[in-house]
Amino acid sequence: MTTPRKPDGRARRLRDAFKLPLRVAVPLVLLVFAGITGLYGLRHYTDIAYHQVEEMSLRGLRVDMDRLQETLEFLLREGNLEQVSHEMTALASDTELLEGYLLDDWGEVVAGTRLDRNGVSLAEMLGSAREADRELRAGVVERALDSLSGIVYVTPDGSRVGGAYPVFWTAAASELRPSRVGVLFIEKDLSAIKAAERGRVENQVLRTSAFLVLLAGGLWLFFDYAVTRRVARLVGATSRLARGDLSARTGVSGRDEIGRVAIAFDRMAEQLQQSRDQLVESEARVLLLLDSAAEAIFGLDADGYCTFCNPACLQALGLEHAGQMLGRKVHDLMHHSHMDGTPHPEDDCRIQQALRTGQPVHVDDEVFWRADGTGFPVEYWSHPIRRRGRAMGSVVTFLDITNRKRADDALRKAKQELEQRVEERTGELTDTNRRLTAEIVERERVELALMQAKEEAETANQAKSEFLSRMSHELRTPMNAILGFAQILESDPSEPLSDNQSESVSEILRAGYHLLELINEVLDLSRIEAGRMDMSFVSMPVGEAVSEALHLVEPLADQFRVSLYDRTGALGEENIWVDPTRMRQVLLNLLSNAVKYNLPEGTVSVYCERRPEGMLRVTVEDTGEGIAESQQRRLFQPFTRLTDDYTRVGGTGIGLTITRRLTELMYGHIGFESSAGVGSRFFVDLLLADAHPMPEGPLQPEAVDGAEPETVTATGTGSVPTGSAPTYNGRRTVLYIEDNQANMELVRRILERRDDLELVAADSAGEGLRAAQARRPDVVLLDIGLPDLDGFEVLRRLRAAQSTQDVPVLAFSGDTLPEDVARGMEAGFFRYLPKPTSIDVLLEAIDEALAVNGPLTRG
Amino acid sequence: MTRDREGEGVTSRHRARGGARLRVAAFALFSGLLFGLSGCHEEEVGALRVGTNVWPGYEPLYLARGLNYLGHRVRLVEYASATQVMRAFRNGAIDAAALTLDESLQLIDHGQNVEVVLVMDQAPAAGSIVTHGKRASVAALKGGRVGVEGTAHEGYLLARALDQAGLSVDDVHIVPLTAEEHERAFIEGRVDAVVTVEPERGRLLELGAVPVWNSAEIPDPMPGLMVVRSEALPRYRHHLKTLLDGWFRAVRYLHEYPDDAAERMQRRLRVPLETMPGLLQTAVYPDRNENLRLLDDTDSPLHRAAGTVAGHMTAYRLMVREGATGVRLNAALLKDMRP
Repeated sequence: MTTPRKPDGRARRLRDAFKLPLRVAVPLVLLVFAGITGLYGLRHYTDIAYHQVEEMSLRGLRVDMDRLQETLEFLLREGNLEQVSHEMTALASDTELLEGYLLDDWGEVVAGTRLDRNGVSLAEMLGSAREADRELRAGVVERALDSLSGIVYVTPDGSRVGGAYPVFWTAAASELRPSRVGVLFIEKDLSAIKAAERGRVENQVLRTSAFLVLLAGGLWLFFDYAVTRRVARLVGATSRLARGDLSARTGVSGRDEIGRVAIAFDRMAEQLQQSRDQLVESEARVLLLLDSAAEAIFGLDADGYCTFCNPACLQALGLEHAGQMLGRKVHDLMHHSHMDGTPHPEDDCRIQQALRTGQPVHVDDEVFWRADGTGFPVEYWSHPIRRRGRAMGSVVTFLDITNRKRADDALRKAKQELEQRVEERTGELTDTNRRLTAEIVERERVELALMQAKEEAETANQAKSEFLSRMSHELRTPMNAILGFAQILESDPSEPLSDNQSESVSEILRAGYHLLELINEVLDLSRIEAGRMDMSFVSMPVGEAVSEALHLVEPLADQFRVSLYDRTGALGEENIWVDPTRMRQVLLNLLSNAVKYNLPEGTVSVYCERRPEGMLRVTVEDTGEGIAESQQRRLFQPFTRLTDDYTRVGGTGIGLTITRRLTELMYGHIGFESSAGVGSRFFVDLLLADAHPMPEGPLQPEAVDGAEPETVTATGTGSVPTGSAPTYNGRRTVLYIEDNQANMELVRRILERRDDLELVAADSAGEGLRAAQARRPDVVLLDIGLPDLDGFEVLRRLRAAQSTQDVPVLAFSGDTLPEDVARGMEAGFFRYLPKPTSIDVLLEAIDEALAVNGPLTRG
Repeated sequence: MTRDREGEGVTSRHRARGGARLRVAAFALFSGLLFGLSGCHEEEVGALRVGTNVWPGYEPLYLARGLNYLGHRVRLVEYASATQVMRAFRNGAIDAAALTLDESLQLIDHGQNVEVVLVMDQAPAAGSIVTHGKRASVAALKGGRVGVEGTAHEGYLLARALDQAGLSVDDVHIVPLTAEEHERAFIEGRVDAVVTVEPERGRLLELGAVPVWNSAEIPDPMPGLMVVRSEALPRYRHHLKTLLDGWFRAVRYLHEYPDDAAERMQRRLRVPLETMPGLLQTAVYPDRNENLRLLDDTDSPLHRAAGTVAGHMTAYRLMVREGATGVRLNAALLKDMRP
């Protein structure tokens, strides 16, 4: 084998100099090519152009000489030598003409471009010319004479063209064939034409070369952009990759070959990097696994030498560092003897058995030997490492099982003890279990009893509420009669009362209204207690609620000579979440209390202030006598009054209870401060709309709103309208179905005052229905709680009969709960009038019904 | 196993190298072809220029041109006189010429290498000497002015006529005239007689000229020949074949459609149509076989005729070179052509 001779430094440098990068080499080659092409083109095309010039000149010369020859022969035949001379001198007008003369057969100039040369011999003519030219010209003339043919030539340097033509010259008149022969010689200069032609060619070649250079430049730019730069990036990335930088990417894209190669390269690099990352990670995991493994692990090569070991292994073998184990024969190091000290031949070594058989080995009845010479029982697993089907080594995992062996013994003893103790404890547990069962049975019984008690209590509460509600209804019916008749007594113009009587009637009315108020409040309280009070929340400005309540309470304040002050200020514009009706009720209660329990000429003021947790406090402050401490505790108890003076201070004693409940239903709370002799401040804290979402509370039907306490409250003044009632031609019939005779009598008395109305009375539902069929009333007034049929059924039947289906029916009932009113309106009553009601309200309702029903003729 | 693989490697390497060689060879071949083709364009040979003067014996040439038998390879150059034709030939302006035997001999005498490739017209000499009538014979021309194109066929005819009448050229006053000058010089009375050939002869006779001598009086044949410069012959081989082919096709056309041919010829000859049949009778166009016979270099009647004519011409000093008496005949082109 021969070693190739290393090139010496100079040769290598030379060679390296030629190893130019493509981006330099390609344009260089193109430029060189353009240069060579330019030079070659210049030479080649100049030659061609020169050749063409010569050819053209020769051709032109031939034509000229042909003509001149003929002309001269003719003139010579005619003997016109003068004209011959003119023809020749005229040649001088051609600036390219150098020489032009006609020689006779003696070789003398007969005529030429210059007259002064006439008669000069050819030898003299040629004397001044260069040797070469002389020979050329003389030779041409000679050849022309010899061959009698026209001869043209180009000088060897190509600068001139010339010709010599024989000219036949008739010497005598009797000659058929001319006996003399002259020579016409002409020579022309080509240098000017050639120079011009060369300029043209140079121009053309220059342009072509410039185009080629431009093309080369363009190609280079394209090549540089499309190939070399991208290849350079590819090469750079490859080099980086080769140096181990697996993050190297070309960043080159494109669908051409380079682009595809680059993309494939990037993909490959990506995969390499991923693989290496995974490898590194995997290796780190393996190392971590080895280092953190509690088991001792080491590796063997095919010859039984240690290739790796973990800290647990070193510790188990009492070695200080891995160097004491790596590269050493494992069998000799720690597996050389049996437990009893007898040598353990390597051939029997079961660790290396895995190497020989290629099968894993598990052993737990051998010993390993520590560095200090002590042995310990081990359990080990030897797993062969296979590569291409051959065991290249093995991985051995072992445990020091000294403790296990000891523990096995201890365990056996402990087990026996445990079994004994378990038996003892089982007896104890059985007793305890029995006791616990008895206790649980007892507890269940108590819970059941509690639940029953609770249910009973709830039932009792419900029953109480319903009782109260029922009672207030039952009370209203007679109240209707009492108040109605009292109003009639008071206002009957036909039977004026004496002063004492009038005072008595007023007292009856005042007591009746108080009683009615009491009934309403009891009703409200019973609804709250029964959980039947629904709230309809809206966001409204607090000032609005306050001013409305103040307005309502003004008559009372005037009566008690108390001044009212609205001091809500800017806070009055704050919005609060309230049920407007309930809010009004709350404020009215507080304000009316503040007026009623005030001193004459006292004041009542309303304030607002912000409280924590998004609450707004509305405070009603009076200048009354205040509340004694003994009374303060039972202030919110029902039926609590601060005074027994009904004449001066009206009230039922459950107003504050209801107010408190209503406030709580609006997620607020009520409180007060009072000092005897100074006055009291009652306040309610309510939710600010901008600090809280709308509280939950089911919406109530609108009809229910319309049947709130105002309608329940009889507000009649006792005056019976006489002139204001509409009058009609003919009397209109009002059918009143009512089982209570007092109420029937009351309505009869009321209607008697109207000439245009006629009452048809029926004391039961059956009778009422018959009367309706018989009389077809204009309006029906119907009690709901009839003994034979309830009012709703009566209404249904009236509607079912064709004759009465359009007659408006007014309900007149003591059931005044909002849901009762709503139910009635839904069933189709024209109006739902509560008992008791004022005379005015009743008549108004009847008039409205009459206005709606049937064709009426106004009188 | 390993060895097999190595073997395979060697084989594939060989194959790869073989493929590369093949590609290199193909590339070289392609490049060579391109290069060769680029340098291998046909050498440019222009049209064969054939000079003629107006002469009924040559007229089928123009018929062939009119019938597009000659194509672009042959260009006919029409000169006013045979003198101009010969001058152009000498000057290299043309490479072939239609000339009579004596004219051809003159060219040879002037040092031109020519070969006869076609005998176009086999009629005997067809010239006349016409006078104003006062001089009723050739002998009467003694001391008179005779207009003649001395350097052409007419010069030979005059010399023969004078010779027959026992006169010499020195006995008359020669007025050199080219063919186109005959008519005017004769009318203007600048000459007493004119040596003329057809078709001027006919026109002069119409003007009242009196023929005193006719070439029929001399027995020498005077064929019309197509001569080619020897140096140019190889170059224009194909052109000449086209020329000869066109010639024979035109002659054939002349025989087949004499009226149409006469009408075509009449325009060029500027003679009345009715004179055409008579005019054409003055010409005899030998066919290919006759041509082959005439051009047979070993035993051609042309050689004999040339010898006779050359003898006279030398005697009349129309030829001055010694030994320039023979013509070279070339039948090769005719032989190559399809019969």
